[in-house]
Amino acid sequence: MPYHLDSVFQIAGIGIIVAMIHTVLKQMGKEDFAHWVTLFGFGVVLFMVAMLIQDLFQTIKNVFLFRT
Amino acid sequence: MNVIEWLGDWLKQIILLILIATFMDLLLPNHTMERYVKLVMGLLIILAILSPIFNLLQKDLNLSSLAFTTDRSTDAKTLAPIDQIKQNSEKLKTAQNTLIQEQTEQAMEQMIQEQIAQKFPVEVMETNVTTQMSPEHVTRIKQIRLVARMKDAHSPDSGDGMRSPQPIMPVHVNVGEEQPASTRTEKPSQQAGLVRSIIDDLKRTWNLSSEQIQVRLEPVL
Amino acid sequence: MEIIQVVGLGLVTTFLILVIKEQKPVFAFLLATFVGIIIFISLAAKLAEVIGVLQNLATQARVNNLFLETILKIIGIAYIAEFGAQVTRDAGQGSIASKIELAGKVLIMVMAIPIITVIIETIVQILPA
Repeated sequence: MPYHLDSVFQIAGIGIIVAMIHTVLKQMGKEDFAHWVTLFGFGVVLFMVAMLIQDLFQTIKNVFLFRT
Repeated sequence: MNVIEWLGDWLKQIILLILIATFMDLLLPNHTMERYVKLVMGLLIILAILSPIFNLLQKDLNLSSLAFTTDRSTDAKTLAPIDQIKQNSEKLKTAQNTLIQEQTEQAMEQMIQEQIAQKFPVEVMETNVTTQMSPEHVTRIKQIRLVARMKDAHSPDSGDGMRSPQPIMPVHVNVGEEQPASTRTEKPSQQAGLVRSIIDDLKRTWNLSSEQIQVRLEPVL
Repeated sequence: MEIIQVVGLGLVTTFLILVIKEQKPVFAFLLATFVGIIIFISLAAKLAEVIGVLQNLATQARVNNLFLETILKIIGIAYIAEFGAQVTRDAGQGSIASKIELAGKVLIMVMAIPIITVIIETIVQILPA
């Protein structure tokens, strides 16, 4: 059973780094850029989560609904 | 044995269904969905419990076919070969025929006995009618044998009261001589006439030829 | 021991979420969803074993395959609806969570209708005879 613990730390790291970059950029006075960075980070993590959700739904379908 | 097997099957089905229902309950993530699964599983279990009744009602139970199948199943093992059955039937048929023959013979004997005793002054000792079964199952008389004894003409218990009383005959007692010989020599013509008339009567009544009838007349004791 | 792994994963994720939540609550939410999905997927294999046993039992009990399939579908719907509702509730959208649960109930009811109709038809068919 593959525990994607790497992915967990990845997501957490992305979150922390994005927060740091956001803070730094905010300090530098480039707020719109900071928002773009946050959005990008969010998109990446959302992509990962969406892939995992697809995986989950496929598994549930296989297990419960007899569809491959 | 069959019933027990069937019962075990039925019980197994119910028990397995209940097990499945329990597992389903355990599998459910939250209790809000439990009611639906419980409803469906309960209906399934009821169906499983009632399934024998459903089978009975659906099959349009044909009693005669049921009986026939059971009969066949029981007979198939104990069934005798067809030759034996035929032999048995033949045996039964011949037994029945001989029984019928005997009965007719007895009836005829009685009839002849009464008839002769009424018409002639004799006492019928023994009648023997032999019949024969023709291929078309019609009984024909083969032979009549009759043994009669001259009745004492003036005995009071004579069956033919219509006859005119005869004069008393002198009684001869011959000691030392055999009685039949003496009586035969005494009045043979009377006996022969009686025998002939009996034979004639029988011939007329039963439509027989004279060689089929044997009449023996014994003298008076 | 699967349970230790799962608990460890949960604890680690909880600490990480606590850290991130100060700066970016969105990432914290995504992380929670992610971990929840991972745990669920790891459990799905075990669930598949249990369901295999159930199927075996059902074939032995000569249950109509339609029934078992429908019941398993009901359980699957319940799991998915529960998962979605919890995630949504985590995100603070209790109303959406309750709507998801409602949808799950309605769909389960719809799924159960074929079984109930089959059973009721059988009973009605029997009754006049």
